[in-house]
Amino acid sequence: MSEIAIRIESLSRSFGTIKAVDNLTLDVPRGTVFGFLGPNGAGKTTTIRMLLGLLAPTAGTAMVLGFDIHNQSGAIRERSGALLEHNGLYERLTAEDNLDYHGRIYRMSKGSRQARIKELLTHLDLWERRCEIVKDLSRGMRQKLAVARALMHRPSLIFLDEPSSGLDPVAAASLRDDIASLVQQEGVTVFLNTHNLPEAEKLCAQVGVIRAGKLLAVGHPDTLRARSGRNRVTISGHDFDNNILTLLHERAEVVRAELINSHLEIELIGDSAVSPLVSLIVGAGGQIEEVRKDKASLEDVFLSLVQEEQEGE
Amino acid sequence: MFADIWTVLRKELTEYVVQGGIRGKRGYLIYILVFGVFLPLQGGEEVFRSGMPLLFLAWMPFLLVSSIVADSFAGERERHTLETLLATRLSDQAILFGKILAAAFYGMGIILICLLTSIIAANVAFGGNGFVIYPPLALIGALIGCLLAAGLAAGIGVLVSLRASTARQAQQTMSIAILVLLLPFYILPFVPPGMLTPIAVMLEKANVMVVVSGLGCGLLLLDIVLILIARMRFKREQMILD
Repeated sequence: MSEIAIRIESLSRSFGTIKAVDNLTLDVPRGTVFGFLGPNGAGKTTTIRMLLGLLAPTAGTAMVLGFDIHNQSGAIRERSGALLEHNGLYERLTAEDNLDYHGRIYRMSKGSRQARIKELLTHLDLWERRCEIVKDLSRGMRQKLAVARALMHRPSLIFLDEPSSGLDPVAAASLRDDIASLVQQEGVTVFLNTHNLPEAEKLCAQVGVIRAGKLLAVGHPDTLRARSGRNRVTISGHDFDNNILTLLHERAEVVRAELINSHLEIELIGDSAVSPLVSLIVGAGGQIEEVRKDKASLEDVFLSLVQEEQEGE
Repeated sequence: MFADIWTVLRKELTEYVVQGGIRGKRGYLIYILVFGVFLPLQGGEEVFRSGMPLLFLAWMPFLLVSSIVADSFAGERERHTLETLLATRLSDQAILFGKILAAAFYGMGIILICLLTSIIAANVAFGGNGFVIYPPLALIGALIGCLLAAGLAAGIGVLVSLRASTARQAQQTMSIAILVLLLPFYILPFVPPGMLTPIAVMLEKANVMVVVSGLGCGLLLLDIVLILIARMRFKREQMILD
């Protein structure tokens, strides 16, 4: 069995004159959570639709679980699950009926449907609410139920399109935890569309950054952080003044230095050493209590990639 | 394939009936009282035995099926469940036929309940002179006619619903389509009698069975054509982009 779950080659899709996806090429390894990061309208949903065989590409191709999206989309849908832009739940049916219907679609036997429903709903703390119609469930519960539906038939690949969109922070965090634990338990490959960077940080082993249909970067979050070439250092203490800021700005490795609430926030190029800066600050009369070196967040990475792309245009 | 059609059909019927989705349970009771008790009994025993009340059934598939079938795809689109359905392993045929058959079964189910109710009601009301029932041939003909009419309404409804953005829009278009279909019946009273005489003479001379069979075959052909058109228009990509 191939180690690549999804292989995308020069995939493009246009709507009239608008290129929703532009020459996309990437591989998603089997058994990983791949985060497809990008702002709204970046082409993430269009990509999922093409990978599921719901939209035909204008150019290029992709193999999903070894099947060609052009002529084997049925086989792809047979083996994958999806939580798309909307949760797709039947609001007039109960939570249990929704999962049961999905199980029937995938020809699961009655016994395995019942066992799977119990397993998933128990895991998601929804077992007690199984007989309630979906309309009466909270938004967070509905999203959890939709995740359960996507996993119901034990697919080897699931597509999640902005699963925590519209949820409050508590519900979103809870959903993220549930997705993380379910994915670990089931061992599925996940293609996660999101513009929520903390979500990608928490769940993804690999991320691809897309903007205006173009893939800007792809790799492990740490690799992308390193690629962004910036490190942030926070120095706490007192007696920091403008003189110190001026001295810091004169240093070649310092991209940015700011005094925020008696903290010095310094952004450095690459893996520049911090100790010379500490000596410089102490020499200029600053009293240091703590030096903390932060890794760049995915948000920093994303913004720096967007900036790079804009500069390139 | 048949298992998949049954899966879709079963879910649709659950939404229609068990959850009382489109029409409330009181609505069913009113239907049964009007079409199963009031209309069949109002003409008395002779009229009932003649099978005349069966004519009322001709309208029922349109009333019943058209009210729900417009919701089949447009409703799913409106409630944002269509794309998820299309992203499953179900084939185009399974989804389409599942929805068409669900609408037709729903209509036929209520018609059968109304028929049974009318027979029970007639026997309660006029049962003194033995078992009261419609003429068997008329009953079989009415059932076949209803099935074909339900198929026609389901075919038109699904065709309209495939492209409509909301269930309301689909229902409005469906109403216009049925109005056009029934236009000859509205025009008939305004046609000069002289023009109708040759047709009346021809019908008088014709064998009733041949005329009814011909109408049935025509209806069946229309059903098949509509279903084929719906099959051709069922394009996942188009349905998502609509």
